[in-house]
Amino acid sequence: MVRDTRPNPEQQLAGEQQRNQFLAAVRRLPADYRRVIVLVLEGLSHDEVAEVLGLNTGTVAVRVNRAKQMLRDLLKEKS
Amino acid sequence: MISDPELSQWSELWLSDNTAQEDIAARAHRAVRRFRLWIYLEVLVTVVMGGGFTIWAWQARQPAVTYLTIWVWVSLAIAWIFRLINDWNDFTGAAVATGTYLATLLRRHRSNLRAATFGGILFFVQLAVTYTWVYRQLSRQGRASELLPTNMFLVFGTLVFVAWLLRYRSRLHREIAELEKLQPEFGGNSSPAPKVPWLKLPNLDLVERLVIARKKWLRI
Repeated sequence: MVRDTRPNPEQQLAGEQQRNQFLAAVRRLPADYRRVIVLVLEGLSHDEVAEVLGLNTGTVAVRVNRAKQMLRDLLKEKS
Repeated sequence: MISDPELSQWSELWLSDNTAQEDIAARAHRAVRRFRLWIYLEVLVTVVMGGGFTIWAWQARQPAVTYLTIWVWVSLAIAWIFRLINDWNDFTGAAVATGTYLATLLRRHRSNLRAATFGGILFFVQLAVTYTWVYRQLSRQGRASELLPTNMFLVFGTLVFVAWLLRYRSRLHREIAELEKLQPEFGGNSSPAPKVPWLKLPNLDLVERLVIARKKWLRI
């Protein structure tokens, strides 16, 4: 007998809710922070984000940290 | 690879949002493939046309063929000069470094639009000059009637080319309008001129991921 490792409907629903909450939180970030975090979430390194947005790596790191903090707050607020 | 566990978890959430993602990813892949293909195609056309005519001129050793070969090389040179001037900003690394990627994408689309217009004009000039040359050569030998099947082929080829060109231009116009709508959201209406004045192929992998990110941005 093979065990089905796929999430059950309840787990799927919970995952979807979590994702929607997260996307809503990203949407509420100020544009400067959203721009940076979206690229980081897409898997770009800080150097690549800096290259793309014409920023220096230090600024990217600062914005990522602030965006993370804002996201944490927004997610806490939601939950 | 994201080393921060919290970001990594969020990234998984972000990337798991794949509504219409497959189509977006496929489109991005197609765009990058097309981009590569165009470069190979342009080099191939230059080598085949330029090389072919040069070999012909070398073997024929006739002034008329030599003039035609010179004309072919001049046309190829014009096309490449236009290509380099038009796409200069898009091919330098600094084009990505100095502006937002949205501005870079917009600039690429506008360059493509100019290239489409230029390509159309060059096509008709090439056609007119080459056809006139062939017609004159065959008329001198009393073989002008041999051109009839070629005429049919040319008319058909021209119609196909014009139809493709119009479709391509309208697609570019649509994309530009979509990108312009996004610009206030992203901030910055233009990106500064590139700092690096040498030719460098864009990082295609990065461009591809940016295209996906942009599309996703549209939806959140």
